[in-house]
Amino acid sequence: MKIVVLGGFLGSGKTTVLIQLAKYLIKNGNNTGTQVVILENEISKEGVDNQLLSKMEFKVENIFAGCICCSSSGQLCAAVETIEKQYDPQWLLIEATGMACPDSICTTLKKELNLSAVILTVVDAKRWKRIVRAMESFVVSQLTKASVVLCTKIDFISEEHLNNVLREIKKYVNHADCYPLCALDEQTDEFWRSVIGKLLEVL
Amino acid sequence: MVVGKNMVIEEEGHYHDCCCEHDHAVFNYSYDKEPIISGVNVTLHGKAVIGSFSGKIEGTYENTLDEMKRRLQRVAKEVEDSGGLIGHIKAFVKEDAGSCMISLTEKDDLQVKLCNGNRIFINGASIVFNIAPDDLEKIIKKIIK
Repeated sequence: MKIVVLGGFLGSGKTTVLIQLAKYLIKNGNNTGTQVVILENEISKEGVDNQLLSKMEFKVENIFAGCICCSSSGQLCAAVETIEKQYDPQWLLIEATGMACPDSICTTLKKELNLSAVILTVVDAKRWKRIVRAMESFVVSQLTKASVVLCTKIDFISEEHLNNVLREIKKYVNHADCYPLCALDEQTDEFWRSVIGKLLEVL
Repeated sequence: MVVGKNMVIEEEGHYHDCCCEHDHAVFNYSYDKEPIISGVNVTLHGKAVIGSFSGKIEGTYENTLDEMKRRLQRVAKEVEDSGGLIGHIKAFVKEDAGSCMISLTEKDDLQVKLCNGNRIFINGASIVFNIAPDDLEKIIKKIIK
């Protein structure tokens, strides 16, 4: 079971990216057993994103009203163990809350279950400056251990703005591959092959 | 536990060593009077103020969707007007797909029609910053219900 943790600030486009990634993995899987299970974590009491994912007929497990990087880390371990036993999927995609530190999730999985996970962080290029100005240390904590960074909403900003954002992201996470995209556009198979290739290098 | 006007606040703050460097306090609001949208719940996570709501609305799916769009925009505007920073404001609106209408005009002329349903289920969350929990709760109650 290969585990990808999707991190990134609130509203950055994690769910939109997750849907495309999950579809690609299912389409290009080996057709044996379960290809993808999604573990959806929402900080609010009422789940919103999980309903969208369930409507799309993905296999989804949910943890609500808490953050699996900290207050709900116990639930994280229980859910991952259950998913492994029940489905043993090729891929487990964990969508963290927009307030989570993805590295803490990886640390918990390693420490408690001896499972390795890789981080894909989604950054909202349009709101980047505003969010960094308001909570830089938190944004940095979501980026520093990422292996891949997807920089979304580039259709709302100029090329110059995008280049500035990419430069600033690189300051915080120089080792990661950074891909600009409009997550609402369907990305090519080649794009996802490249992203997954990078994730697998780390796994 | 803190008891306020028309509400009970249960505080469950705790400290931990996650990298967010914050403490978590949870405030559960139990209202004496249930609003039309029930289950309004405001919690804190670090600097984030999270307002969740759920409920049912009578009406057509299209009208409810349009109305929810307008109301969520108003929540966003009021949060910003109050000096808050928007993290994410969202809602999932689904219809009661299981409903149907059975009608007879003659004993052998039974018709079963699947309807869009007239009960719309809503689950929503407003995750914002720089705003007091009380203020977010007031905004949600005022606008969404």
